[in-house]
Amino acid sequence: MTGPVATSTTGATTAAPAGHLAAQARALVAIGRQSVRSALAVRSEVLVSGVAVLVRVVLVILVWRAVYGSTPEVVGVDRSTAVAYAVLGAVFTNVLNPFWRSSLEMRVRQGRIAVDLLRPVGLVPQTLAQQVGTTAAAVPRCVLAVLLALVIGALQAPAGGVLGLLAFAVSTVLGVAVALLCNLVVAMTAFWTLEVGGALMVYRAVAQFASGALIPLWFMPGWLRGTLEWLPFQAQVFTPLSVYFGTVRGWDAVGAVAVQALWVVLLALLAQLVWSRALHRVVVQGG
Amino acid sequence: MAEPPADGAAGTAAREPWRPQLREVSPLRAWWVLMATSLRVVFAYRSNLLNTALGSVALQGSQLLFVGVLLHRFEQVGGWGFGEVALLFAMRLCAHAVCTVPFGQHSAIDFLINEGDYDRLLLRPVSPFLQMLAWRFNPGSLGDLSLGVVVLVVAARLAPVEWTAGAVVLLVLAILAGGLVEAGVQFALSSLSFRLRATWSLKVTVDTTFADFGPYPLGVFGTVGSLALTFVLPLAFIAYLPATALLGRTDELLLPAWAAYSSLLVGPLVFWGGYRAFVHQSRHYDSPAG
Repeated sequence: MTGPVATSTTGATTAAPAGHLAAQARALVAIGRQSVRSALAVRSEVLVSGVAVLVRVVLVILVWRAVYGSTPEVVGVDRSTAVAYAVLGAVFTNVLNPFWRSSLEMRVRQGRIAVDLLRPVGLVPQTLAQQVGTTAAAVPRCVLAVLLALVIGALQAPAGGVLGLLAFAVSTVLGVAVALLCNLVVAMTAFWTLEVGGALMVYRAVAQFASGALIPLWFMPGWLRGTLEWLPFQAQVFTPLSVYFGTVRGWDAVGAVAVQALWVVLLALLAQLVWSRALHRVVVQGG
Repeated sequence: MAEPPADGAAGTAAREPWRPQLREVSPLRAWWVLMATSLRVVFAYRSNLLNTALGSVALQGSQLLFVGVLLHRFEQVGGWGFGEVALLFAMRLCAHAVCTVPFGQHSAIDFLINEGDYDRLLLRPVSPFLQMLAWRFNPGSLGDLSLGVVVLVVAARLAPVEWTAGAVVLLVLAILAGGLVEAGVQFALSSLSFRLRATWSLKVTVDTTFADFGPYPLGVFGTVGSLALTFVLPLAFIAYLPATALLGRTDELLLPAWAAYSSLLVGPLVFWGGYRAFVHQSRHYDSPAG
């Protein structure tokens, strides 16, 4: 069985006819859709996750309003911007850093990875399609949370009108891509250790803090901010939110988005490299 | 009753139709025997133990870092300075460890029920509740405990508290009671698993709400928020109320000053209530095996 496995997982490296690519794309869309469905399958879970993000948004608003008290501005950031940032930070982190463990790790541990490897779609695209599906399933509750914040006046429309909104959308998509690729690389360590629970928790904690989802990089001491700017985490949350609030604009915004795109490329290459090594390490448990 | 108690059931099986001969084992002893086995399993996989403990330290540490950066910029939160918030954070985290080290296995309940493992618990002559608590020890809880103790030692020096014998006793009792509050709440949520099957999101939401909003003086949440975090989700009893007693800040409470000590009583009550809820709801268990 090793022959077909090896060729199918490296997938599109052979000159694939257009029909083959279309079939692959259809398969990936189906995987993504299935993953949306499974994320929304248990009603009580959907309800709880929805209420949870709303409660969190209200609590962070209260905390940040209290932190500012009557101070109008701290390090050039006014109260309403800080509160609005906290709202979007809570929403972003809800989508990008869920507690849910990557399906990849579980499937390696349960030995089901053997079935995944036999599929005519590569394992990396499969996993990414699943993650995109789970992320998409979180969008409705996040839209609700954003609407709530708008209604109670804790959030204002993005800076820079329609163009600003467009830039924010592009930056958000790139931020999500960076987060998904980071998740993927961390999850792939399962091929070496089988147990990645600890690594995923460390990753989640570091990503939450270093991405600026908990607290904007504006408030961090210079040395810390300087360090974090060299890491991919700030491209997940801090960059899109900086675009939203117009703290980077014009060519600076274009530059920031370009850095995000660069991270997407670098992380995709890293994922591919890790994957090519992982393929030789696959241990099919119970098989 | 000549058979040794631990394998008495298996020993008699060959002689007569299956009828277990059991000797009463005290629940505490049964719990300890099972727990010791779980601990041995965890300590057999050292690198996993270290990994998972580090994971917990990172998770709780990121909140500490967040609060640290916040206080570095703003100097106070809701009128509380660095030392005061540090003490509150440390008390909350130690109380969390009091919940997770011995009782953290409530998080396995969804899995136990949905995978049919709860059937196995019902077959053994020990309370299923105790068996659940000793199911698989979560090494992450040791991370909570280590970080909690370290931060507590540092915070005790920073906080403006005169550490008389009475204050130290209050601190220890308050941490124990806080842990019981958290455990009781999680037991009650676990009991819902017998009906809902999936309580994971609910439990994680409550857990992260305690962790992320525990380090603030309750005043920052306003009147409605404070009352909700006292009587709906009892966050106040985990650390805030006794912390106001230690810090001499009971005048900022919406409740009378004696309420600062109420967690010492509320803790055991919530714990007992959570346990009773679990036992009561477990009657609705419906095996997935049919």
